Amino acid sequence: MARFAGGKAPFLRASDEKDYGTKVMMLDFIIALVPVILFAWYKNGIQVYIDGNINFLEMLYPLFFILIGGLLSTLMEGIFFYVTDKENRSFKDIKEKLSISFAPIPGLILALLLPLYTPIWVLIFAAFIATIIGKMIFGGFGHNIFNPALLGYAVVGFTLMGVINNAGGLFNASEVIVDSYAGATPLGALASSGQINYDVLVAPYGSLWDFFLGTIPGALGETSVLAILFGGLYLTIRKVIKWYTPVVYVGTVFILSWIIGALSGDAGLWFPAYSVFSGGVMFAAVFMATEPVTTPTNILGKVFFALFLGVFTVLFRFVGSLPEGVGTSLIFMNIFTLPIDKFTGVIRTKRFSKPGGLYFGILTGLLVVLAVYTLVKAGNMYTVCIPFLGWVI
Amino acid sequence: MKNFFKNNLTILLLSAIFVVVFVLGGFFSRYMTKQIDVHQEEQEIVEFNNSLLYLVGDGEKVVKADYDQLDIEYALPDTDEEGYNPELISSYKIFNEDDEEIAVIYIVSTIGRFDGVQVAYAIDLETNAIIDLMVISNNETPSYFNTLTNTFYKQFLDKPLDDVAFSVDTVAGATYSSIAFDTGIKYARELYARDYGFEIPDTIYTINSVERNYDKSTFLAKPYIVNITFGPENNELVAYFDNEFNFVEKISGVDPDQTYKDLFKNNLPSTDFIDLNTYITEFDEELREITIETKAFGGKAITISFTLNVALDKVDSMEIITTQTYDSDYNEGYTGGAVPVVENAYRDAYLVDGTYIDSISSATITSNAMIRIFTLVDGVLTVWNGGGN
Repeated sequence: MARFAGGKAPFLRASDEKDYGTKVMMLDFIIALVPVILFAWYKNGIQVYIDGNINFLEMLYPLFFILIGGLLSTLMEGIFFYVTDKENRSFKDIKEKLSISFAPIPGLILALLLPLYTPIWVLIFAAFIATIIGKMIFGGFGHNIFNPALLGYAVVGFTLMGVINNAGGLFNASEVIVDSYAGATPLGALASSGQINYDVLVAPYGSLWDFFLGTIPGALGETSVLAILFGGLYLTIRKVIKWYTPVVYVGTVFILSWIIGALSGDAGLWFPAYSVFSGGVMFAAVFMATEPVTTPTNILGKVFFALFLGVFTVLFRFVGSLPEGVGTSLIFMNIFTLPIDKFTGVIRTKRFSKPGGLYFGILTGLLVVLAVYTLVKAGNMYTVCIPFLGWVI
Repeated sequence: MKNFFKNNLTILLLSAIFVVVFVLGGFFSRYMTKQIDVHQEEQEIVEFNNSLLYLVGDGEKVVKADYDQLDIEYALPDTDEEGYNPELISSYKIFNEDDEEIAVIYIVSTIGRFDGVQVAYAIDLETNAIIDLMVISNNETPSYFNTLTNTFYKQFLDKPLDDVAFSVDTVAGATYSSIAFDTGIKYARELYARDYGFEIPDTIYTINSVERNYDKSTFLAKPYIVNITFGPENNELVAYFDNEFNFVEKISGVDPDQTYKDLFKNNLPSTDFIDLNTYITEFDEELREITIETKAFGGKAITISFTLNVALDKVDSMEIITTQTYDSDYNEGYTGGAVPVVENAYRDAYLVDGTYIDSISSATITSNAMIRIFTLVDGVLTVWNGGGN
């Protein structure tokens, strides 16, 4: 007999299995982050240490920074539990609550997104926003509207980026100084140059293979596509995430970027590859767009969510003034998770009969309009069309 | 107290961890930020060392040397009277892959138009030659300094230190800056001689006399007659030299080779036998006009065309062309009239009875320039016909 889930996400199809609940899911999530964390440590600490460019303490710092992020969000959640639940204040009670609430995840992800030289007090502030404001105020795990880590990241990005810049600013200052990257990340290079040119966007950092491996400047957790893919593969095998969400999201960014590149006169596949390999697209695709609480729960909802997310990422990157665009588009899409869930739920049950067809039409229409607008703006098609306009007239 | 800790152990523990993270983490992140500056400096050193290796064109390793300053005075570019000691900023040894020292680099600060022309001079230990140089910094006027082009810098490439005439040609428009380089390589050579036992070849020559050539038919092309004893054999030479102090023609004695010609050219300007800054530029016997030029304040020229009497023994009139400006750079104490009031005052006094005004207050350099011109024209008239005003 079919069973239907009720209440708040996440819902696990495998929840009947022994030891397969939220606790295990969180453990899987952390395990999936391990390759990303280890690569971040290797690239920003161990490798630079081996090259003789930093000392032992500096070598340890990337790992320290990431672990401190996880510890901070866990501590804050623990203190929150202590303050808000007078009946269950024992260490054991709090430990039990923390074990099923994904407590370290927001802090870990925050540390992986923020520049390495972010002062610890800023990390604490970001963890506070992420954990307390973004998660616990809403009722804790399963009730939050926004991705907690992204909310912390966005608030710090809007309010304290000057402080972070003063403390070093670059994603890894010592690495950037030594390798003479002039401080620019690949997306920063695109934002500053405005050129779709391999020699400007890719060549200064090596090749696309370097982008895939992650030996390019960027936030701790975002650079290595390979490490992220390992994590994504693990989460998919463990059924913690659905494979199609990252695939649809990355595919949307890839195709739109390809078209934009072609409209700008370079139809090479390097540009869409650059577009998805740089910045936080891959990291967001695997670890944030698949977040069980703040994204839709049904298959169609996840697909529409990923499609919209991809369109907005490209829109914010190429039309807006944000070099990255991933975090903003994710937070923006978090707002629409509930309506998308509801609309797609109706579509799945009613198919194209009323009102399923209407909802499908609305979602598809919005998506097409946004995608076309993005391409027209980003591809500078107004200018491209002027000669044809003259010919028509 | 015991109950307090027992009842609040959890929150105390969580808070304690939080405080530890805040304090230690804060120190750690602060330390990391400080390290950026350290790495920046390290990287600058690496890049600087790489530039030194590039300068030498070979070598694997750069080691900072601790060679000391050497006390030698060189003339300031804008005056032959005052001397100064160039400053050895730093020195570096360059080693090859077999850890053998192959070159030394001296970074020397000299004075051009302004103080602080810092240049790295690389010297090959095997060939005893300047390999190349690299300008580190300078405070010169960019528009002048930039006139020093590759043609100027090429003079330094592979320049042997045992060259008797160890000097470089200056560039018009950046003369002082050029002299700063010239002084720099000379000082670097002295340092190299001290640090590596290199023997600077003796520049065996003596300028015995410098006289003006008053022969009407030749003095424009060959204004100076110089008597020199040169070389290990004490060769005697009497020869004509032009206004640029190039050797023009031998009058008697032994012909010098090009090395000695270059040497004379470089050193004649610093002799004080006669005023070499004042010279005849034109003479028209038919019109009885003789034109004399000199350098006055700021190296700016004063040119006077004298019209002589029929007997060619007295000045009838003169026309002054001056480039003096009497501007704010001229002399703050000068309160007289505008250009060419000083020149005109000298003209008027001279034309009346041949008087040279001693000096006009706060216009000494212009005054001296006028006196030099009159001295020369009187000298010419005296030699020709025993004349003069």
